[in-house]
Amino acid sequence: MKKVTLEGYAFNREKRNSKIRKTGSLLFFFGPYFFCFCLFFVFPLVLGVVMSMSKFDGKSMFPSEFVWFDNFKTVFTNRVMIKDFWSSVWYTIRFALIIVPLCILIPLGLALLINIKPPCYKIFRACIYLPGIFPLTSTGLILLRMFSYHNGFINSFFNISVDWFGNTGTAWFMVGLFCIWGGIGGNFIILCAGLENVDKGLYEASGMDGASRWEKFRYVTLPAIKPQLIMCIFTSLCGYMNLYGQNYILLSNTPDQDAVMTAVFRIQNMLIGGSKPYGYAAAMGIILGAIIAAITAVQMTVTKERKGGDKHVRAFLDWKESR
Amino acid sequence: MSGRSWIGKNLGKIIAFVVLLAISLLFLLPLIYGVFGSVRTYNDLSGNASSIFPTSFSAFTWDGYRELFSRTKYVSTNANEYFPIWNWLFNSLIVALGGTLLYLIIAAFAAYAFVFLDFKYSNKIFYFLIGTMVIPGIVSTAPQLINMNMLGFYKSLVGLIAPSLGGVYGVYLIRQFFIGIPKDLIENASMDGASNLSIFFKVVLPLGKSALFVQGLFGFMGAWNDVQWAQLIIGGAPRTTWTLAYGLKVISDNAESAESMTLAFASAVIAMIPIFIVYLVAQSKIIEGVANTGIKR
Amino acid sequence: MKFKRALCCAMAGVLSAVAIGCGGGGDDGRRPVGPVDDGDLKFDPNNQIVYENVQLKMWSVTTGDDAKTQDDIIARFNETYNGMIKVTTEHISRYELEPLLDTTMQFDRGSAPDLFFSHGSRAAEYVEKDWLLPIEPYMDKASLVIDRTDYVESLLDATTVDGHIYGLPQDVHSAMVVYRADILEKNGLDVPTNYQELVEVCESAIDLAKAGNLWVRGENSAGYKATDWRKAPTTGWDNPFPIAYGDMWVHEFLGYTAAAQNGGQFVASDGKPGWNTNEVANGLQVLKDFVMPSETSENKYPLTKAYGSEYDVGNTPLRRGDAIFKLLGPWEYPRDLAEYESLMAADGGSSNIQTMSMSNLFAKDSSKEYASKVKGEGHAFMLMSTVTSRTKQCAAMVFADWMVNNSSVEWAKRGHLPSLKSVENSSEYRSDPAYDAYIKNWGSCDDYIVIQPTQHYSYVDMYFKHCVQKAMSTQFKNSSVKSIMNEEYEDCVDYIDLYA
Repeated sequence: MKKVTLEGYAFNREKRNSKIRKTGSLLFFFGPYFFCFCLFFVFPLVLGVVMSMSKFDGKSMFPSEFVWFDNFKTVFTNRVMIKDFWSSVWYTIRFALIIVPLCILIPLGLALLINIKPPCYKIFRACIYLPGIFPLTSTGLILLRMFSYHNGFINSFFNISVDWFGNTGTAWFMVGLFCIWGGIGGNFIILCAGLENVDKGLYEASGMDGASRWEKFRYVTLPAIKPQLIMCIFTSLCGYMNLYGQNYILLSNTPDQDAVMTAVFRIQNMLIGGSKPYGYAAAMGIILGAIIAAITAVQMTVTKERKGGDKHVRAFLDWKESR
Repeated sequence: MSGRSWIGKNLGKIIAFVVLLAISLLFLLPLIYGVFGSVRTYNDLSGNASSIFPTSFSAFTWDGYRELFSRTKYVSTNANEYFPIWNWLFNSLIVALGGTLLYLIIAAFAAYAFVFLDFKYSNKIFYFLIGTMVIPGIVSTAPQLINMNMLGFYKSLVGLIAPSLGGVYGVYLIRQFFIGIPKDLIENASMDGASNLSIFFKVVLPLGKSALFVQGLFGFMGAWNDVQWAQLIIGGAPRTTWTLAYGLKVISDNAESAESMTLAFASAVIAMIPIFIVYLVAQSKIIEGVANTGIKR
Repeated sequence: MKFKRALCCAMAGVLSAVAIGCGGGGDDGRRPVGPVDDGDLKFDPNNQIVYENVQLKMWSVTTGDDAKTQDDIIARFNETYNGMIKVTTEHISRYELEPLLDTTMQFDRGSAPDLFFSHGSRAAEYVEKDWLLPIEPYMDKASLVIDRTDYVESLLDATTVDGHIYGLPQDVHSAMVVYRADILEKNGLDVPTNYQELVEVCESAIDLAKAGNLWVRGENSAGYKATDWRKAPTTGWDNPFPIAYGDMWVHEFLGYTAAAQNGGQFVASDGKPGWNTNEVANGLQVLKDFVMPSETSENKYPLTKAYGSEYDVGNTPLRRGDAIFKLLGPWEYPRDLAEYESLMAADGGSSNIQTMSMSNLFAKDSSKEYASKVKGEGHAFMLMSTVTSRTKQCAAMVFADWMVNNSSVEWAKRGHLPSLKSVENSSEYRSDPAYDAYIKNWGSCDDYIVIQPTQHYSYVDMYFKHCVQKAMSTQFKNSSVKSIMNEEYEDCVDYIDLYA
């Protein structure tokens, strides 16, 4: 009897100790991150909601009045808000719709070339990825000088006279160029890796079946790299909906500022200087966040995987059946 | 005959080689232009604008760099052109390196907790974290600024580091990697009476090194290149607390007049050098890391 | 550490709740405008205020050469008041200054300056934000007087809000025109005195160049020396007066000046923008014609290349002899003089360039009284509301008053014409060689107009500048100036209403 209780006691004690130890190590390991997460992620979100329902008087950083949904109402109904904020949202979306396909197709083309594995392909791969690693301010500064109106390299070399950053159209073109030059690197590498991992057996099999190059690409390659493609589309779409740096760096002297401002640019501009616009900025942030979430949600449903694990094999078999 | 068939067999490779060569050169062209622009007199740059390279030996100059480094002293009358670039380099390093290391530690600890300390609701919490990843950053930009102010991090480098510490993506990536570590290893070590801390450092960390390294590299590059958040936090601070990437924008804004163009190129090159070194050293790891983000899904 | 942070967090939460609850902390009280008490002042037996090592911090909008001159003058003050008052200055560029002050006053009042040296027209907006103290009570306390009759009226008006003076004006300045006297003379062209003559001179020069008869000289990549006369090329010499909307001289001064010389006003009586008028449109049309002449314009050739958003576009062409006129901030003129002195030392040196004010040069009808007006900006000393020590407030007034009365000709050499008539008429000012050489060409303070006080200054100013930019931009070649202005006006007013 006594022996058992002692054992029981030891067991319980051990259990309790281990529980304390467990809680302790949990606190030690998970505590710091959890704390940071709450303070730097959750709290701002909550604060953001409060801010978006507050007015600021420009004299202090704290809200002066709680106005419920007035800010949202203004953002949706006020004339200049509609003209400025919503037009920049629309510019952003339009630009994203143009640039995202380019940021998939161009890297895909390049990745296909790399996948042929010509000599020095590793060097080429490194070169194409290179511009993207540098600070936007560095690379942007170089582009600014290269395309400068007078005495710029491009205008002199081709003997043309285009004010690249002075007109709305060419200004957006420059942003696009900047995005492609300095932004396709990631997608390119991901797609390269995707292509490399395609099951070579499938190519051989399809080759034996007399599939044309296009058919091989359409029914073997594409399904195989679909996860990478989806990932690239997703990250590019998110990234370009948040477009800011490129416009900020290249277009700060463009005369028609209203026509070259992205949504994030607007919000960022409202946060520099006095606090009067903070309430609207917070509301716009929430609205823009919702729009981005909605767009990416649509994208995810459209491109959703409908097949199981061995999908590309199955896709290939399907295609073979259909012949 | 053998020659023809060699060409025939390798036609694809040859075309790919030529096209890739052309495109690579096109991608490198602005960088080359920038690097040479930084050692080229303004007169040559504007007079012989159609050339990428300095057109004559006398057009070479180190004035851009000399000028840049001569502006590192504060002269109250020339505050506009005060570019304390050593401070900026140092600040950028603190933010990029310090911030990344700090985040790696707490993120790796958190990932360890998720994988090896099976606590109550651990999965639920994790999925909650994943769920928050869909919230775009712009939602919290405005409030984060106020938050930094309230904590006293405004106009300081801490304000640049702090927000990234709450990031979810790193925890997610590292956790995915830790899951791949066989549980037996941990259990064995635990049986031997090793504490969690020593398990973490002696078993998990050595195995997860490369995941941490890749995450660290991206954290470093992201922090080094950041302008958007820097503009809000340190844009109003004295110039000695700026980071290089942000300082560059100001140099570039001040550099449209003739004299300071070479200087602007020089500063752009200076800001590219550290990251270029990182790229040279860890090129394969970086590329592998990017590639993996696609594959692992 | 962790605990401290948690505490911070909790406090932050409470703070924000409190702030929301009680509406900003109740620091709304009107600043004292009547007499003030003695506070921490100390008096000597003669009832004079005792200043003992009063340290004042001033933020100044001046940079570059301006800043150097200002520092020299302030050093003289510090010497005079050695042991009593010492002023230290931080120079911050005009584009950084306001955002910096904005964030400082919101988040970081402890590091705000005591004095603020900036453009007087902005005072009304600063008052609206609670940044400034009215200066009269403290001038009184320090036994100083503001003699309204001695000041140029518009300058003092610009810093007067609701009848109280918020800034002591020191000067007024604008951009001015630099021209190549040697080229004009060699080709028998007269120095223009009004818009018609300006256009005529420019077009004659272009015609001469086309006929191969225009003599020019200047440093050139083809190897000519700066003093070698040569014939201008028959094609491509088409840029006699380079201006660009990206240029600060156009941006801050020429746009306004052109509007003012054609009768434009900028601020309506309620503080809202008043520039949406036909007069202002006429003025901007002059600038548009400069870049893109039309059938109805005075000039048939463009008088400048379309430089887009570039800036400082005049310097290089003028030096090379590819242009005759350029705009410049007068504070950079001494530097130009020095440059030409050495560049053209072999023949005439700095006498090859001359300067004049923009007066009349952009007025379609030069008989009108307003045709001679030039838009200027006036610097003023402002007292920050963060200063609570009475001694500091009074010391700041002593300093401002000294500066206004004692920095005359040195400051005027930088293009800052004195705000006090007594200073302008003093023999010290009139007898300086620089006065005869160039200062007199810039006219007197009275010729200048400054923007009148409005609490919406940034909006009134910013959207007017948009109009100038767009009017001169090739992208808007086909839109009329008036339609550009209407659109900008609507936006401007809507934003003002939004944040009111």
